[in-house]
Amino acid sequence: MSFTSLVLSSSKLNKKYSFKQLLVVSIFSISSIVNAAQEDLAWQETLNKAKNQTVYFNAWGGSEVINEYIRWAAAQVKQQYQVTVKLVKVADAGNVVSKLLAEKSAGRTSKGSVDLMWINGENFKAMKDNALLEKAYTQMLPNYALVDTENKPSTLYDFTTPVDNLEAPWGMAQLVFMYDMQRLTTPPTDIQTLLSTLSEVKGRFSYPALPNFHGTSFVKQALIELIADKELLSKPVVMDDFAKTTEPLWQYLDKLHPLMWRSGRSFPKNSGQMKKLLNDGELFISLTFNPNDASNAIANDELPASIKTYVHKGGTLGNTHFVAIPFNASASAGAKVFANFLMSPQAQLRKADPSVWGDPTVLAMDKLTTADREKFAQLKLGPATLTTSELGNVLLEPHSSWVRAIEDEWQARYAK
Amino acid sequence: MSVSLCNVQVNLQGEALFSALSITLRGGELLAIMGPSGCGKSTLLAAIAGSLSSELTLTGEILLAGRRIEALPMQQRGIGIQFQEDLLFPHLNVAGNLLFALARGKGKEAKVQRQKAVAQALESAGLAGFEQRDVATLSGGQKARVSLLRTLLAKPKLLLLDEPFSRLDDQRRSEFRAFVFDQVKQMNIPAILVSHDQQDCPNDRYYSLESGQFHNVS
Amino acid sequence: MKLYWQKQLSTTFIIVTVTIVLLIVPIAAGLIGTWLPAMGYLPSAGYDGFNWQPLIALYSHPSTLTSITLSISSALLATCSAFIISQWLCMQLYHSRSWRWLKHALAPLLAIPHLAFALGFSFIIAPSGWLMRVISPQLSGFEIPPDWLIVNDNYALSLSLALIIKEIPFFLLMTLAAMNNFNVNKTLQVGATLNYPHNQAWIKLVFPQLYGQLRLPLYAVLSYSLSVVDLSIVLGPNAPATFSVLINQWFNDPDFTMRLIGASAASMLLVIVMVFIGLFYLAEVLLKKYLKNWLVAGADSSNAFELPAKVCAYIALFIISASSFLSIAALVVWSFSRQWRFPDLLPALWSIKNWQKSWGQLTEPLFNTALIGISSGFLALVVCIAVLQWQSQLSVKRANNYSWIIWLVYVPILIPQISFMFGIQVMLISMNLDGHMMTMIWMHLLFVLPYCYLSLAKVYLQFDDRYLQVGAVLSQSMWRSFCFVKVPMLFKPLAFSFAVGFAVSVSQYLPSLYVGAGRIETITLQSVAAASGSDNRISAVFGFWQFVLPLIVYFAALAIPQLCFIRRRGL
Repeated sequence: MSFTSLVLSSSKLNKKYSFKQLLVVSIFSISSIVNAAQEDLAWQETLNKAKNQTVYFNAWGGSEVINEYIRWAAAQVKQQYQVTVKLVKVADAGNVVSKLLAEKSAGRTSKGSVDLMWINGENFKAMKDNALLEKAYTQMLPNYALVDTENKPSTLYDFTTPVDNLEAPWGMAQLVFMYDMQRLTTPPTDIQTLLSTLSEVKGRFSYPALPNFHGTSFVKQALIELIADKELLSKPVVMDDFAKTTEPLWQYLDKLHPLMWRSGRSFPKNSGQMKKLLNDGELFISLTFNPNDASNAIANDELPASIKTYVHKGGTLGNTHFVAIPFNASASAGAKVFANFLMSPQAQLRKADPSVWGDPTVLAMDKLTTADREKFAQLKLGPATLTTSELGNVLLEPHSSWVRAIEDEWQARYAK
Repeated sequence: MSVSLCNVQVNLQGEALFSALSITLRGGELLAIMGPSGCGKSTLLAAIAGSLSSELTLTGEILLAGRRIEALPMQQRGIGIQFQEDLLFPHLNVAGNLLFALARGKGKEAKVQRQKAVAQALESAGLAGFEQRDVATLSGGQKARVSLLRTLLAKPKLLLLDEPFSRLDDQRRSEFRAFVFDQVKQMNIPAILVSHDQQDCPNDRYYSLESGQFHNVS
Repeated sequence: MKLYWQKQLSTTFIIVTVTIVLLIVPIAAGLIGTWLPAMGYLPSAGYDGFNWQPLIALYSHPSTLTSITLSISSALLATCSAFIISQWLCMQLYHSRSWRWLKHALAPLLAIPHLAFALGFSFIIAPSGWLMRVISPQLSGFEIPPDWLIVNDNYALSLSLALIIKEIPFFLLMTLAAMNNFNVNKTLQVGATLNYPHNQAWIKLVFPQLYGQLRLPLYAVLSYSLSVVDLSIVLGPNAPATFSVLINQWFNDPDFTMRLIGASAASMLLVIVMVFIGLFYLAEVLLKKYLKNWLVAGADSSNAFELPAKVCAYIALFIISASSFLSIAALVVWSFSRQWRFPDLLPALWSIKNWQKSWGQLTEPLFNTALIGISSGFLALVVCIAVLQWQSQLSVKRANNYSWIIWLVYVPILIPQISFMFGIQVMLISMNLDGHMMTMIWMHLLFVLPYCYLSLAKVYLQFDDRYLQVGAVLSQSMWRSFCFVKVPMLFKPLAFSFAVGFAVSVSQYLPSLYVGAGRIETITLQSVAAASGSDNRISAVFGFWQFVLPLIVYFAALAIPQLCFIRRRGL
């Protein structure tokens, strides 16, 4: 239906309105109402299609807190939309990418085994580059409109790769450090003071060996703090200059490693193991991408109450994690309904509660209803959680091409 | 060379399995103990050889070549046993099986000596040139002979024969029996044979073991 | 006569065909599916030309060389030590008072899955682990754990140690099976009457006769140690990791070029495994040749070190059973803990929350695991019986002609899983077979069958088929006689072989991951996912079930024949 015909038909129907009035209305709202109506219609269709579908949601299953939250969300969509969600716990998102690659190799373009997957960063880029994702869909999800794309740029650029509506933002992450205040009175304030702190408590910090996600993130954080020209990081890496520009990083790590846990000869497997080591006092400082991790772990007795959180004063890396639908999903409509629900104020509120999971919301407070906004404001800050102002600057991820270069160099130096 | 058993008994939880046995045998002498299967004759041999299972105990004395042996481990008693199975070692050839039994020797000369001993033994058994044969390819009678040669090459001071003929057919059996008795004479060692078959009895004098009692039959 | 030959031929034909279709086709397809990307061909990721690039990249990757060295050294150390210790234990303990105990302890030891053992074992030996907690803080003075590199050490020693402890029971089982083959007791007696002390008689007479039956288990353990992933992730070094872990990492790397490198590395791993199996065979041939004279050089009457050797054997046995028991105990305690920090010997806070929380999620994976294990174990038994029955009717000479068929059965456990699983996944998907229960059972059968065969073959072939003939005459049917005479008489070994197969099925990770397509959850998949996180308490619950399922089946396999026996005696 064209705009003109609509205006004409409207004027016929509503003769009591003056043309002037009509013009004002049509200019300011009709187009959006019509679009909204169309979208409503399309969404309704998706909802109908999704009914009685079973969505296989493939997600990292190493955290019982998160698994439990997903089961709660699954129960909600079952009740509200008659969509069944089955959580497929995986040890590594790479497993899921492998499976999809195998399906593509075998020529299965529909009826795939994965309907929705938890993803971000490099895996997203690989899937996007290799056409393993369903076409752009997040703009169709009603709750996507509530996402804070303006102030949270990482919801649009996933590790600098344009999201292009191919994945729905699920939660926010920021690199924070956890420390045991009983064993360490003053935490470091930046990458240099980390070094001086460790010379006093030798062996009580480490990071997972690269290419582990958290390990790579720590090294990127160090690079951001150490590199002379930070501008370089937002551009693709130039291999000719790489050795020179990253020289301060390697010098730093050469000094750091002898002071680290096991003198840097061995590394924790992942951030999960670091949490266990922190609990036992093998480490005094650990790292995580969830600012509420410590509070949540204290709440369920995974960590003692003496664990606190700190960030580096220049800010720390931040990013977003998403859910994406693969190119051959069997229950694409159901997956959309679930993705939409995961972005709903109800689901996001529960997720942000430190006693549930404590994963920060992707929503913009000013786009919410007053009631919802109120509920978010009333969320209790966990005992080890920093306030928004304490969390400080969120640093953007370096351009995605840096990752491979850093990992290769790191392995050549420390894992040969 | 002689062997003396003095009041030899085997006990199970304090109870004797058969009456006490006292005998003396000189070199070249062969004593047969006849009795139905299960009467305990093999147990007697096990007691003499030192391979009693742990719940059985031996009382009495055994004197072999002037030495008390009943407390010694099996490998130090100097006794050879021939079972009804030939128990040839399948991973060794005929020569290997025989060399295995020969005493250790150092140097080239000893090596030649050992090989010579094997060749001689085989020849004495009518098996000349059988050195490199795989034991699996031998006939039953040949196996039995190689097995006995192996036992004898270890130079035992006493030979125990535990139903050694019962697996062989009639003709082989009498051949092998003659071979065994002949070897015992030649080696001039005492031997004890247990069997349930009257045919195996070498001479008129033997012991019978029935219901736990030894009877000297002449 | 002609009819007889036709019948023989057709049986052979059927058995060969079934074996090839069941075992060899998926593996061959899997290998090809891995070799293509190894040569640069993976069109779905945009690589459609054949080249040496992945191999060159593998060669120039900084971690490759050290990683391969680590894999080889740990595998050799683990395989050889486990083999030697197991043989030495048999030699020392044969017919001693602990011999019976050892036989009974085997079942629970075998039931412990590698992953559950690794998790428990690392908790025992770590600087913040159980042993250290026993002496801390009072004796050691450690309020916080010392910064000692024990687990994940750079020489893969803790990994090797765990492999040694875990493989010894397997070798013992195989040795016990091989002992059915000849009269060990009489052989030792003959040795003694030929003046050989026990140990010499064992080494020169018993071991050479056992080795023929132990060769394949030895190769299987070698291949397994070279390609183990889960155990190595938990206990192995990580800068760099062992080769198999590196391959796994590359297969999961977001950068698809790394998958090509992973594929070429997996093919390389296959070559390494084959080369080392070849070297082991070569070593055997050389040893046989050079030890020929030593073997028959005569008895050495020196009897030194008999007593300390026995003591050492008891110590070794104690270490194996204690570490296995403690690993499981650690899982149990963790699963009931709420807060447990160093240096507390036991949790400060207890809870049954972990069990309550996981209960709802356990039913489905437990049911699936049991179904897959029982089905694959049962099918494996049927195939084993078919092959063995056919084998038992062959003459010695013809059996030698067909021995290559037996080798086919072992192929799945001689080839590293990681070198063909990706290819199998593609094949199954293209045939729309992924994610089905039947396919899952089939893939498990691949790995269950060889172990069932290994544990059953000797006893089955030893069976005196005159019983079968008598039964056939009486019942006038070979089938009836087979079902009512032979199977009941062999019920005990059949049941045990089934239990071995079941335990193997339960512990399968890669096949379940690649074939299940997320549709079929198993307890091991859950276990591995949970272990990737931070919560020891939940992973302990899953690890515990991973152990309990096979344990139940082992005990049932031991108890049911005995119950039947008692009932029959009563009649």
